[in-house]
Amino acid sequence: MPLKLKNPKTLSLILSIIGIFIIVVLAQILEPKLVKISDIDKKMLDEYAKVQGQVQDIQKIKSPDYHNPIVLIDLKDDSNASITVVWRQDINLTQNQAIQVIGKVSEYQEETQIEASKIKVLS
Amino acid sequence: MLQDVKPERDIYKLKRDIKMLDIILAVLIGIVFGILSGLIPGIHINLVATLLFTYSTFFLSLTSPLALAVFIISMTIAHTFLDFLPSIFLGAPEEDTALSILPGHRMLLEGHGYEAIKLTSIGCFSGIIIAIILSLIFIPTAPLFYPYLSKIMAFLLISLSLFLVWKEKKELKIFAILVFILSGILGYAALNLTVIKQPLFPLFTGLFGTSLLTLSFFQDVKIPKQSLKKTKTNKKDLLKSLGLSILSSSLVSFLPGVGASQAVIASSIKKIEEKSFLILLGAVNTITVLLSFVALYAIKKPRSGVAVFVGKFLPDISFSHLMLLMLIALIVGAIIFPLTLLLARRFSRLIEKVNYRWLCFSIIIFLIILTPIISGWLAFIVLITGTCLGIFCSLIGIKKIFLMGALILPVIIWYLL
Repeated sequence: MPLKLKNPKTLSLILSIIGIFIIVVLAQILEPKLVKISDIDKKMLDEYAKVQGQVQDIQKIKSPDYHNPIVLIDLKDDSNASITVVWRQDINLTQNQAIQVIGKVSEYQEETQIEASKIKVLS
Repeated sequence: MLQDVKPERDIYKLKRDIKMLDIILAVLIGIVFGILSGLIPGIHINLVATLLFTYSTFFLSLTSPLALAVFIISMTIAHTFLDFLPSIFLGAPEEDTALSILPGHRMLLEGHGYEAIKLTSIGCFSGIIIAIILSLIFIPTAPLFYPYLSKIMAFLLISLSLFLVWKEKKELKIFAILVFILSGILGYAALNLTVIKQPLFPLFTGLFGTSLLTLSFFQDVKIPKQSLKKTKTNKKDLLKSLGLSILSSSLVSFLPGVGASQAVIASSIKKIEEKSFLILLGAVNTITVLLSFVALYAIKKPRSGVAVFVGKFLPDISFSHLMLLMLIALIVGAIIFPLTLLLARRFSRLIEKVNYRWLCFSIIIFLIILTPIISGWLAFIVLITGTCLGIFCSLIGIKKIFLMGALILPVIIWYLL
């Protein structure tokens, strides 16, 4: 026997809006766990990670596809390992500056890198 | 002393890479995985490709990168054919109450589920041949037009979205905009919810899977006896569908976020019949996926999840590699076409015997169990929200393509920022 709900359209719309609101809030407040750069490997591909360390080198590349430059940051942490952080907006950073990065682990030319979605300057 | 070193010719490089037994095995295993991923609701080939890449060090100790790329393309083609079985046989709404019903579901409710699968399979196979022909056009031209296309990508996607709203019924336009914006915000937030893995899994399972299954469960749908009679395909309809599939796939294959929904776009360009729509749907699925490999070679940009992984295994993909992959697609298509029809016949018999309502319910439970395994516990919120939005879209009677705002809107934002 079919189950009947009162106003299923309104109910589904209200639940959708509440769910979207919760997800938007969670996306703002929840962050992935802080990991050491040396612990990042292929198994973490496509997952988000949070790392922090010191800027070793910065390179800005003009992208043919996007109006913003691609910034490549060489980041080293206290595990003495380094990783390339890719940031697709202009940013002013200096060498030895401490930063915290949240981004997706990806791979480019067999090297693991982080496609940053958030960069916070610590010092 | 300088040595006279001749550049290695492409074809010799390919011959060196090919180990015939590896390739045959990769094709066969790929077909098996494609059948499984296609038949199991919610499982996407990107998920299998991700697992393959994660453990690639192990697989590369057994075989060559080319064999792994062949595995991916074989799995993708088999999946594309088989994916229509659960999407047509499951989640059908109750016809009297559903305001918008997918053509495959309508045929199932009329007892022609098998014929619907036959039409999508004809489309899929024709799509492979069309994609091979189109690849010869796009390989030299894509590098010329793509730089201009990428500069106006956001504008193109906005125009496409507005076009779809414009084609919607007058009284439903406002709901189409509402659903597009809500699914866009949901998609953007879910993709930025950094604590869940594979966010597209709960997002699309909710929007397009559990929403339809939930409606089938609540509406207590009765599936009539399925006919296995041979039906003639109108040649004129077939040609019209294939022509539209060429047009729509060529228009949007190089745009991110649009995917195989071109069928809906194409049917918006010109009104077509239900049967033609199913051929079109099959054709655009294979054309889009194969053109994403062409994009990988021609513009070095993968336009699908599986093309990303082929690009990782074959970073210097050559013309010979691409042609080999196209040939493999054609061979897999020829193998999987009769297999799909065989399975569709079995499905048609089985669907009459099982309690459809409880079948839908058990698949909902299966997808609920799969969600924390693949994406983590918090993914439940995305799954439930997507389900509610999908249900609202179905009940209000607008096309499901507006739910693709979940992917199109984040891509627009990404290109604009």
